[in-house]
Amino acid sequence: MIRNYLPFVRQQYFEIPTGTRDYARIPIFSTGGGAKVILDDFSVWQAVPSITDSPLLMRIGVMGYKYFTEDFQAVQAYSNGHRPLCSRWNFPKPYRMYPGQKLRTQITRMQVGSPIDYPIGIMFNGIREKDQRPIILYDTDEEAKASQAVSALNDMTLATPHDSSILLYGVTVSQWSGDVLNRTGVGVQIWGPDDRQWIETAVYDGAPAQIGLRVIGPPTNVMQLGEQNGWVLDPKQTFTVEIINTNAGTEGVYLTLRGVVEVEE
Amino acid sequence: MSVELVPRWLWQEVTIPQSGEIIIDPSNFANTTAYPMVLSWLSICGKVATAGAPYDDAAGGVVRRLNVEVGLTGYSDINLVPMVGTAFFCGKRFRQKDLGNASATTVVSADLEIPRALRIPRDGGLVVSCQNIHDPDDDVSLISPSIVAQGYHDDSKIPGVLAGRHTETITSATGPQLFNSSDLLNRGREDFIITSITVTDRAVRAAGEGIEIIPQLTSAAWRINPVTGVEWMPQPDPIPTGCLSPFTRLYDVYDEGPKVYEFPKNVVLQPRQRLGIKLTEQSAAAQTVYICLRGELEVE
Repeated sequence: MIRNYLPFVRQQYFEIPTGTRDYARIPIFSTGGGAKVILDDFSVWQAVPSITDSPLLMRIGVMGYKYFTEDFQAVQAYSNGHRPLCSRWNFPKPYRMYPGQKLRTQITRMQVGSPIDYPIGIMFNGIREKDQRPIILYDTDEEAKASQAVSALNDMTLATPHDSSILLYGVTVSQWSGDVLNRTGVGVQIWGPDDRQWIETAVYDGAPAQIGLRVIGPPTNVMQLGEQNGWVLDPKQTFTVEIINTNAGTEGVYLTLRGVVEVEE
Repeated sequence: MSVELVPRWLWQEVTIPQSGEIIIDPSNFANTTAYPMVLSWLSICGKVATAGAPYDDAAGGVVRRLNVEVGLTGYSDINLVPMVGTAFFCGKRFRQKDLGNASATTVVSADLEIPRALRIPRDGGLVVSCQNIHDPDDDVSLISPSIVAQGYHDDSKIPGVLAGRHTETITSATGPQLFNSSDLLNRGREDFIITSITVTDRAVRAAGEGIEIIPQLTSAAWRINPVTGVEWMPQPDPIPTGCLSPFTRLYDVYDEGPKVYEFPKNVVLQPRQRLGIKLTEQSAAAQTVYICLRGELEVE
């Protein structure tokens, strides 16, 4: 049996209602399937900018082991990871693709304001197993389009070569942005060879436009999980999060969990 | 005989007179233990000199106006590295961390940058206190200051968290506040391995009509020690966040922020040896800085 590691991203948006100490239990990220699940990282992103002082408080756990702490801590205190300098995601384990297989991707321009149109592209880094030569799978749309426009990137340059399987190590998304903090990203969707959707990214009308960046390049808040920290779960287990909103108003938050599922082929 | 590496932070607050120089009391940077201390880095931070100045103000810049010299006592006064501050202390490695909006800068996070995992025995835990070190006349409060130590249980490899939060806002007039310890103790049946420690600080204060950035992470100070064993922070006063977390930028624009000098490998402070540090202020304004030495004790 050959093991393969299927990348996945679970993303969820929810609103914690108005109230100083209300909390919402978030149902959760059931990863499902496969032999085991390696969680890579997790991030929390506030949806609507506010100028209030009070933070979101959070605790985490694994369903079946209860929450790790009784009390809640500021979400920022969980941010033990570092944001990469570009929108990339290096998979915790390489993903193997076979000859004849091909990826499909779709990118939605999310930036609002000026500039509202820019070329975009996606690239997967890998290596050919037959001769260990590097290979990239990529596609671009160089046509300038308006905000919210969708590009389906399905060129044959996203296909595996005919003579060798390949191992993919990571994915990057290009985004040209006038935002000096580079927080405005693109909406990204990726489908594997079996049309399984890796990145379940909904595009929310009217929501701030960082959703794609949150997926491919984690935002400025990222919690590093990883196999080295014991984040190898049984597929039946579930990563659980509970958040208290101490602000006076409703807070919308995006939660993003990334990892790989180990499967046998 | 196995050797365990125990982190050690030593620090001092010092006010340098205008255009003057000062040699820091070496007893604050002495290895008072019986074990050799391998030096990791020296960090420095302080408040922007001009009161109320924005972070990009030309008057700002705690380190760029300093000459710094460092040496191991017992050989000569200053023998290791003399240099101007700008070149002596490096810039940032990592980008800013927040939740992505204006409110997030009232609670920002900072890593303690632990080079290697720390073991907390099954009957052990952490003792944590936090203090607001801002001037009492500033309207800066620490809101829900939190600490999260992530890691895993040694035998079962199950992930876990040791954490604490002060449930009330800490104002600048109060002293160090000890955290509730219930979640800071390892209540498991096995040792807990800490792989990262993150604390919060505050990055902005409201001043008049606008918001001003506090670029040096000097709103909060932390004292973190294990319940048992050799202390990590032996001095009684908490250490400013900027000194503990000098590698992450507070803000992705401009160069202001805590700075750090990393010692070459195998620079060791032997027992009873002390580190000598001389700071020279090059401008016509006195300033107060926090300077912190991090090392690892080779405990047998």
